[in-house]
Amino acid sequence: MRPYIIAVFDYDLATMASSRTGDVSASKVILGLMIRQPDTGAGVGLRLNSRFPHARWSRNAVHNNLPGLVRRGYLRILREGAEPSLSLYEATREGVDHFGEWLREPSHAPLALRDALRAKLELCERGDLPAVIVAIREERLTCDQEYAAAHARYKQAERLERLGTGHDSDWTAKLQSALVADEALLWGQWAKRLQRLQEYCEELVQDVEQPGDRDV
Amino acid sequence: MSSSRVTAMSELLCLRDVCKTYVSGGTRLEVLKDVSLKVGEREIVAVVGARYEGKTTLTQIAAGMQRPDRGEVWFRGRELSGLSDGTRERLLGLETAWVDRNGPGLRLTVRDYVGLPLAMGHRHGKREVRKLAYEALERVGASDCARQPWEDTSRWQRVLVGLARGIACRPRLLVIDDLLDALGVRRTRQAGELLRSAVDDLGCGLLMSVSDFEAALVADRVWSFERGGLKLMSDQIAGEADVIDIEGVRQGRDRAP
Repeated sequence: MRPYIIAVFDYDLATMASSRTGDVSASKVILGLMIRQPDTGAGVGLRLNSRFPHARWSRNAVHNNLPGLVRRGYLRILREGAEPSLSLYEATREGVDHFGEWLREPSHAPLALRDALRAKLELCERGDLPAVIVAIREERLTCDQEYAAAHARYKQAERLERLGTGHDSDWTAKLQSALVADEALLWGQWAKRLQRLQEYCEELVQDVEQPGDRDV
Repeated sequence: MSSSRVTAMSELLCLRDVCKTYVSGGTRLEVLKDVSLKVGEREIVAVVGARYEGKTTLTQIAAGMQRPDRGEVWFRGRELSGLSDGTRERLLGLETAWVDRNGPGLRLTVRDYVGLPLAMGHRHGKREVRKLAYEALERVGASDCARQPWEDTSRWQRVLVGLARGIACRPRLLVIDDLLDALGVRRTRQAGELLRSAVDDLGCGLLMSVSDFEAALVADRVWSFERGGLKLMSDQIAGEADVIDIEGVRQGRDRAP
């Protein structure tokens, strides 16, 4: 009975995590990458981090998820390696079908608004506000840097697209370009959102410090 | 900026510590505070800002249509505030084009609207103006509406007509104010491609104000309004010009609180 219970538990983790918070599980992404190309654990780990640089997967994401995917019949081992991370895996028909179902299903929830900054603002006292403003400013700087990096990648993708050959590979280049554009927009808008939040908090601090002095 | 400052060959426009305040009914509204930026040949520079953040003021000062209260506006190595209004207008009429989303204000066909700056600034004959206007419309893919009254055109056609008007006189500097707002993904991208190809072919510089980061993607350098100042968000221009004016860029970056 025990393996059966584990399998159900694994399955729940992989599916419920995405429906509750709007994000995607590492297990699903690893399966998708294996469908695109059979790979070793080490190889898929590299692709996981390069294709999703901002997902902040855990260091053990691949190591923890490969056995479960094999157990559920979505991956099979093509060749055992000298160590587990060097074993070569490929997706099974069941894995392809399972991934296809997920790809077609509607997203159940938007991204969860559960960032630390929001919680800090929700729970801070009046005297804490200056410190929270510093935290907002620092988060903004990070967003600015991420925007600049994504914009650089967009410009690079744009140049590659302009050199396009008209072959099938151009489709991938165009999709990549759209994804990078989306990423740049997210960071840019997030930075703007933090700017507004910072300005609002700073005005609040001024209002508290100098009540009645301000023109309203 | 000192007169001995080295100006890069490719540098077209340089705004340095530009300030502008509007006074109305005893209320002072400081719109631009120590704004510095530059635009070089074949560069697209975008300034992202919300409504009433000073985008139009900035682009009009950049195009020489308004004077700043303080600061300097250099165009191709000449400081514009030192010039008489007539000289400034002549210089800018020949070498810059400013485009916004508003129409002609009187009933004109698209072709005549596009040709208006040519007729005024370049003193072309009527037939030549129409030919050049038609060519510009053709270039942006809007020649089919050349004989239509501007008021009867669609939102997207107005964007194309605006672009055609901007490039018709082959300016060295094109300044676009909030033209690419809320166009949607496909149209924004299409407009971006048109702008990129116009800038590359004409060898001009482009300064554009936009309301969102989507329209700014095509730019080589992206600034964002922040309490009247500008904050550098992304700089994808590599080369000599940046090395020369890196101090100005740093000042812009450091100005962020």
